Amino acid sequence: MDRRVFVRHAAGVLSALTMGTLTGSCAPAPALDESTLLPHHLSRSLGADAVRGIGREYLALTPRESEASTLRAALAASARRHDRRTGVSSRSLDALVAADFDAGRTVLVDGWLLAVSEARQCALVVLTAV
Amino acid sequence: MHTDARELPHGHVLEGDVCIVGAGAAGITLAQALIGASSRVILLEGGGFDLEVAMQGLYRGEIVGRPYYPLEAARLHYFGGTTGHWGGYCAPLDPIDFERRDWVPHSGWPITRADLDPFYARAHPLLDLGPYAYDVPYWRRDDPRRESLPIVGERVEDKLWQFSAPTRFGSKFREPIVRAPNVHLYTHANVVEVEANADVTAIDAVRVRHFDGREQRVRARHFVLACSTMQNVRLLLASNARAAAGLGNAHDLVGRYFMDHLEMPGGSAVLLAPQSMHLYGFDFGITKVRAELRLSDRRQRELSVLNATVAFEAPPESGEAASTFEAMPPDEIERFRRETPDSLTADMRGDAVNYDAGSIASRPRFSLPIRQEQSPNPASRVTLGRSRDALGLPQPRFDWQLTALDRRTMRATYLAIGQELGRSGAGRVQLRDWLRPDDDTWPAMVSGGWHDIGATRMHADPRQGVVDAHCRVHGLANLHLAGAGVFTTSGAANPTLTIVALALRLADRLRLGAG
Repeated sequence: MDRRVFVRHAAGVLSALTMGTLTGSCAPAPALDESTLLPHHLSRSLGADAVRGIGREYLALTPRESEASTLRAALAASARRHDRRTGVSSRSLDALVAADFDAGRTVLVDGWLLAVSEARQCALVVLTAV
Repeated sequence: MHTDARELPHGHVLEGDVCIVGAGAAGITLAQALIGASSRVILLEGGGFDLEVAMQGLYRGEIVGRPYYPLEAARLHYFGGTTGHWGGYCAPLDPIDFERRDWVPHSGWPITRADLDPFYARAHPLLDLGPYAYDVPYWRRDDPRRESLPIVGERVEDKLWQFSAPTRFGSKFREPIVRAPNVHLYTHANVVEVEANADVTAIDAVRVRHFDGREQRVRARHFVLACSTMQNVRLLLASNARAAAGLGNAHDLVGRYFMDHLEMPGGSAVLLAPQSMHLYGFDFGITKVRAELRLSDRRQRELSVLNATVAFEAPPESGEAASTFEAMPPDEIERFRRETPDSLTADMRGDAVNYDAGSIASRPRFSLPIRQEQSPNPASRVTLGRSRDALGLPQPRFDWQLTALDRRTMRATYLAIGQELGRSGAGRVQLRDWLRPDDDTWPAMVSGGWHDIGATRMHADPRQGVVDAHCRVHGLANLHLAGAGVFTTSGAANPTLTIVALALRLADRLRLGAG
């Protein structure tokens, strides 16, 4: 992709996210299989309550991402970035998480150092009561 | 030979070639290394062969500034010294610990790790350790279960410890030293003054005093103060008859740069997939070697942090993991000490938790205690207080101080390890609440490791150190210091192995007539 096109595209995604946050309207439908995005790895090891606690705290830390649609859009954007970079279609949280840690896209939530993607997914669990 | 110095008449003068003050790890190492040499060695130990309350009380001091453990609790004042209750952890300092690091003020020894390697190797049999080998492949050949975590690589490395029994120097070396024809051990011989010559260029004698006021003097060609970091500082500062600021203190450095290892339960981890943790487990009295995680030299440079290691341990049954100081309250120390000298360490033989790959699924959580280098800080210091002990020697006044680099290192180290665990998919790290803010705050009690380090540091420049590269006090031709007080930086490794290695190096020098 031409760099100028990429910049316009990225700006468009950011704009869509911003618009989504301000107006509450839905971002473009994610190209992700949501059933594979559940933070099963955290649920198994930390427990469902801990996952929801992480989700609640993440939402408190990032009020601009307090809508499920916003979180889905952010995850979708992450997936698209990952796919462009790797040439591999990411359908699972694992790939996004690894990419986040590799790039230093991490967040400290309740003391846990987490990938932004998995923190968002914990938040989505809270918002959608999955 | 052995004499209880309390039997000596007042005014008696002892003569020797080498006078060693203090019979702990450093002093005993020196003395045993000089057995059979042509030198007449006088080994002075302030305590006896058993712990005595009155002797232990001589170590009391005043703690100002940051809270710290009672001074009389950590160091043992009897033949064998603090080896009487140490835990046996042994590892050499890392090469980077000796280097000048531009992000660590006052770093840089005048010697290198390579200079000490031969002496580390010679120290191993004294401490009843295995071979001088600290690489995982060697120990994996010994036991294939010793596998590294998947995060070990360019950014995170395994740092290995070997474990002494722990060797009690007082038990192991009493007979060889007492039987040695050229070594004369004097117990209950507390030195209260180091006497310099008129122009303060050499030491003439040390003065011994007893509780009843009787005194003796010991003359020698060479003197070594080996009575622990804090006691060495006390003696130097108090020996001010000819040097008002104390001996070796022309540049106000004696007592400064006191360091301890920060030993804190700063975080925990959860492992997400089966892992063999055999390499990281520890069963006191049984485990020969164990790994902890450290950031690679390159990663430390990238992050501008100090050296540190993080261990994997079983989490507490309930509540939060306790720090070293919290886990052993002072009244518990006293109780153990009243029982047997060995009981403190005997209590460490708790229930070992051995993790194998299969057990991770049911017990994935670990406590991650850190053992961290303290940044050399001239404001962290030992001075003399106003009170005096029962022998008339000023008590120490201890002001332990930390820097922003210490706090930043601890947080950054846990986060860096957390990043690698996350990247590999192996696990996640959780910081303790007090470590989550990115600031300079500490909890009320920051725990050390009971390792008194620095305060008479080594440096080629007398304006930056108390002793030179050979542990000789700058400006005093025949006075050397031994013990962890001469360390320029603390590293992250427990100090005993390095104490013994440096003592062996000094012994070689003394055999040659101290140059």
